Amino acid sequence: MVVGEQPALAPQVPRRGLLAKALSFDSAAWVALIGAIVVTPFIFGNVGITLAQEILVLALLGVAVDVLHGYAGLPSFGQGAFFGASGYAAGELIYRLGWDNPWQVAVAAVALSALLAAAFGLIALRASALYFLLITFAFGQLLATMASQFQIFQTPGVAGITGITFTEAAPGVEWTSDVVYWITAAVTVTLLAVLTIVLRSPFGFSLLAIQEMRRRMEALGFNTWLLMYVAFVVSGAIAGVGGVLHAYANGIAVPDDLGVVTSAEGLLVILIGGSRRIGGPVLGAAVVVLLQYAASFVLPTRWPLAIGALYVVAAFWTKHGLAGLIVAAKSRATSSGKDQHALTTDVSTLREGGAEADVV
Amino acid sequence: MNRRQDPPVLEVQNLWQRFGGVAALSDVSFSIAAEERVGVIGPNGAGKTTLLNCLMSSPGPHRGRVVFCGRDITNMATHLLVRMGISRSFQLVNIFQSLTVLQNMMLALGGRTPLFPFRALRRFDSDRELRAQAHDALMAVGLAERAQLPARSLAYGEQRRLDLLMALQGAPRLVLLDEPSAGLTREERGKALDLVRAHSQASVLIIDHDLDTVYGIADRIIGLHQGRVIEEGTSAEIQESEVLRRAYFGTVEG
Repeated sequence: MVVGEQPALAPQVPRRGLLAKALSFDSAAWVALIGAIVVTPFIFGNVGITLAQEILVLALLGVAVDVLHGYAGLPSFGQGAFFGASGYAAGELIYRLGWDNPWQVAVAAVALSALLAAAFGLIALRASALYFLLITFAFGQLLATMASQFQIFQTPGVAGITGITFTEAAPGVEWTSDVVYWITAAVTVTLLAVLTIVLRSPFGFSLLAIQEMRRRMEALGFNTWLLMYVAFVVSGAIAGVGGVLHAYANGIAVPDDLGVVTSAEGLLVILIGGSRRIGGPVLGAAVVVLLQYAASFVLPTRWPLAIGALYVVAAFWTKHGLAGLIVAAKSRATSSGKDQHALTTDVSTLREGGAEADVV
Repeated sequence: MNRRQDPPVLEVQNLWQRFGGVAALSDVSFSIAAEERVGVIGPNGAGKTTLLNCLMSSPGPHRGRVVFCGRDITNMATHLLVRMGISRSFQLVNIFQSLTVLQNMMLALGGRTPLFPFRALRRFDSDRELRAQAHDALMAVGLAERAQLPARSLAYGEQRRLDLLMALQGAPRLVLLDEPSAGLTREERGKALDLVRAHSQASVLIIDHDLDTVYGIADRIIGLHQGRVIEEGTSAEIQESEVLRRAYFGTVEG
């Protein structure tokens, strides 16, 4: 009887809805991402590596925010907590326990971030919307304050933990900033790929549906709390991955990594880059990092002003971010005004136009 | 017809619900037999929707017991109630507007499987078995050609039908329907009721402003007024009820 219903599944019928579109596999974005990662060191040298490293790390933080905000509909203002905690965990393991294997340290640090998220999530998920935001914000500030107050979170003479470095990345492979970059690149791409798969699975759809109508999901038999909780822990772990790589690149963990500045950057990345698209966080992170870099030349002491301005612009921009703008532009180019609201139409419009629309 | 001798599917015992100082439900008791369809009527603010919410623990009652198939389910988590075989529809259309019609159905079918949302490596859209099931269900109500469209593009009547259909998935033993005919034309209303009748294995608790809808489908009717059960009987008995007429039309009450 499945055969009998084929006509309704014929290709000229739109295949997916709007939310589904956001999850669609997008080869162009992957090629662009991997291409940029590989080419950057050879074109821009050490500066390129430093900046690209920061972009990737910030993109991971953005992805962590996106899982919560873009999928589960939970506006977190405290993902920095897990980002920073992982860096601190790495520092403590090296400085106090003398661990010297970067992979073991990273796994332990990320696990700690996930555990922390598992604990915080129990409390934060009792609230919703604005209160959720405030609670996550408070967690981040709490950890940042603890990190700056207690000596156990400091190496002597520094307001943070220094010496996050290793002799070897693997037997015979020296620990250099180049090596850290390639590790970061590999981990980021792998993580993005895994997340793309997970987020278009029933898990991702369930989160989106909960965001749209939690009560209905409950009434369909979904354990919405559990799904949101898992999303919270996963997000914490992803932020932890970003955080440990950040600490590896800089060799130091500082209280700011945990606090509101970092958390806000994660949110900004998604606001600028666009949510629920593979390229969104990467693009957003690129804009933030490069703008900070440029602003630090032009306004050496006042570059945060530029970032502040960026917040305002991003807030007024579109809710789809840069990635969304590119998709919209593409579809305008291909369907030439046939459709004014590219983003609110179905994916079929974009596909019919022959466009591999989701470039980023 | 000896179904009345089976143990009741639902037993509501002395249910109380308060919001602040206001008693929204006061000492409500009734039961529903297997395959029985019970209507709850009453003027605005009588506590009808509150009653449905209470049964689904969203939120649960302050006092009293709800027993489903012999098991105490008072204040049990909503999703567990659904998996046990209770489902509900909502007063307002509650479909996922941004998902396709088919995806809506797939979620409705998947929700009863505890681990469904955690099949993290499977692509939601290409779950063939689920698609086929969803498609069959849509076919039965004439929505199959629209399966791939975003649910928001459906006409209002179709949205309600999809909503109802989603609530009826998974062979529930008890279906709670909140105003299933609201905003529908006479013809659409008929279709909606047929859809409910087609699931004859399920007991039904229906509340509706439209008395004809309730009279048309319910075996038995409960009159609710100011959170209390004031009348109970067959459609014919209820239509003659003086007590209920007073509740509706606001004649002076003793």
